[in-house]
Amino acid sequence: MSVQEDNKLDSLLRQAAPEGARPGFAESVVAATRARRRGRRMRSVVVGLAAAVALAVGLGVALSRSQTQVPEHVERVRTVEAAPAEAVPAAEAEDSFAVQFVSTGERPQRVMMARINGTCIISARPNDEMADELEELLRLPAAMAGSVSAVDGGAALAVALR
Amino acid sequence: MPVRDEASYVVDAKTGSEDAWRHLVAAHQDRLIRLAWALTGNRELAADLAQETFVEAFVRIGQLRDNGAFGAWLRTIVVRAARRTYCRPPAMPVLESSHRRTPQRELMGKELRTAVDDAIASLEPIYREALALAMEGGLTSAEAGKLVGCSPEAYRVRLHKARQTLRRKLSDHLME
Repeated sequence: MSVQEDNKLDSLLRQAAPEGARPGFAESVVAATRARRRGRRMRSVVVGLAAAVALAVGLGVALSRSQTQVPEHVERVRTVEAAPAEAVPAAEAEDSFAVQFVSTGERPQRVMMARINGTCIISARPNDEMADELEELLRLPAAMAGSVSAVDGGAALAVALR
Repeated sequence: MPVRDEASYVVDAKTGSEDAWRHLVAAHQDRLIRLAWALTGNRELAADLAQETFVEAFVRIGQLRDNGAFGAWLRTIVVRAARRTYCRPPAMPVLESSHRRTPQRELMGKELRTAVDDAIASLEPIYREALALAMEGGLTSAEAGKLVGCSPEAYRVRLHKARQTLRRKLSDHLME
């Protein structure tokens, strides 16, 4: 085939090609991007929360076994692992939100995640030791040291991720 | 006011600047829609693909290492996005919108546009890809081949076959 024939075909294809984007195309892209990014943020919160729950439960099991006592509540906590439907946004502001899981049982535990000035804070404690800890977390500065400790046969976990 | 280069908009886009997104969309939208059309032979699907490509690019823009390569990155994303559509059932025909209608467009005639769309859509995906990248221009055979996952020689063969098939299917229009 000659170059001339190729050029003729290319010219026809260029003529038939769409002229360009419809009006408002850029805005629809921006809106869709905004929505997708928001969705990804929420998914990452739920995934992080699920990971925190799994970690807390794992620590609880490990610590409990090390003390030759397996508390009944550990199994109950495990039942709330990775249950996104139970994640309840506790604040409306996009950059300062908190979610929490609350388990039930004789020795209930609570796992929370909060984002403060770009810092993600995950915390898991027995309920009876931290009634107002969520509110305290929201008042904390951006940085928070991570710590894990045994609490009455269970586990206490506080982590700051930047 | 100094003219900003595209890389600086990409830097802003990485911080989530919607103005930067708008600028980058405006700079690439027409080219991307034409490329998506050549990859599918479907005008409506092309617009959707272009939008999906921009969204995916902005959501993942932190992964773009070379801020000056945004256009090439879009091309890679749209080729992959088009491949995901190859297994979908054909879209329902949609009435053509009347925006941006020009005298030349009027003269072009719906019949010819439909014939070209159908001819492109009838090609095997590997030939459509070769044709689309050739229409896009600016790529060597080696670069285009790498993008679609074949050797430069194989890319040239695919392009030759694509053009040969289109020439046959559009012979009536080419003689006009």
